[in-house]
Amino acid sequence: MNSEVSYLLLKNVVDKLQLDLINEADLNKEVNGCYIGDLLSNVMARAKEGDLWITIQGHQNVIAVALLTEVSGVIICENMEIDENTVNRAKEKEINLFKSNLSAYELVNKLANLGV
Amino acid sequence: MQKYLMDLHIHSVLSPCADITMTPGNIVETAAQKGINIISITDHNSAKNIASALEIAKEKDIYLIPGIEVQSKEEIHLLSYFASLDDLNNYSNIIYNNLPNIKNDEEKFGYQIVVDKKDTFVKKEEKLLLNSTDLSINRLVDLTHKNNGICVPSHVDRSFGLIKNLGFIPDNLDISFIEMSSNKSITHYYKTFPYLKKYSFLKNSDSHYLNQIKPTMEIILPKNISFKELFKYFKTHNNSEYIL
Repeated sequence: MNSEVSYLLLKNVVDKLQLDLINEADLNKEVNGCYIGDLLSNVMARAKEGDLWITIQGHQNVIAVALLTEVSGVIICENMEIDENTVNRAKEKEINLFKSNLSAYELVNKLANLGV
Repeated sequence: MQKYLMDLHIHSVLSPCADITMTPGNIVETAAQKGINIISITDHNSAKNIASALEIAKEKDIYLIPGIEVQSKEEIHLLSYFASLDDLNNYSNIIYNNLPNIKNDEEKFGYQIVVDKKDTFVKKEEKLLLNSTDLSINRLVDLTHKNNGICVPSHVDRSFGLIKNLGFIPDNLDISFIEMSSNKSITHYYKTFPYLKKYSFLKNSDSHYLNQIKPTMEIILPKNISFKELFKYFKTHNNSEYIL
């Protein structure tokens, strides 16, 4: 029997969720969960490695928190403004950063359908 | 030399969340009764009671530092203190113009009352002051400095606090003061966040009711110091050592 384990990669998610690429670092990262949060102190404590993090917070500290928590990528949802410094830091620190006009709820629905 | 007691974060009736008894006159009177010499009234996103408050404070020989508490687009509260009413008004006008045009619902949020120097009702502020301006924290710090003021993130680890919302203090934020939560000690902060040692701490009551006003800091300065000298001293010294 062929027991194949299927991994969900960021590049598939980007495609399926039609995310806008703000910074592309490594889209071959595995997505193995999702975390939603805008209070960064809480995200620092709760987000797990490999999670795809959805937030409306566009401040540059998002990139530091993404680095710290080792999430696979960050989606700024609801078309919220992303600070210029945030984009620069994402490039510098090689963090996958995306934007979407969908709400966190709508994005999570789609993620759930993908098996996340 | 003289010991001066301070409390630099008090909300007046202009803040919808403050009690209806928080008129500048009552605030100044309460401060005087408690032996507080230096206060600041810092309403949410508006400074429309400060001109009256300055007159009232002067009569009672209380120093009033013109101030305001602004909510940034990251939903962070930042106190700003100024050397003059003009500087404060320059800043607060920008803030007001960057607040969304949403009408206050008194039933839900409370009254927003402007008073005159006799402490009597003048008008209600129609725009809801409990909102975020569309200005970033960096922009607010910059605007405060442009108007010769001091910008101090409020209660950094509580709701609407810089550390609570953004996880830590961004390295590119040009501040030297932070406000601690009044129920915690400096030791607690140094232990939890060692990097905060480089900042000067302020402790204030963040009063919304008269009985919350209390001396939270004390400094030793020459007797009858001028306001100008007082502000200069405050701006250039590490105030952590004055916390009560």
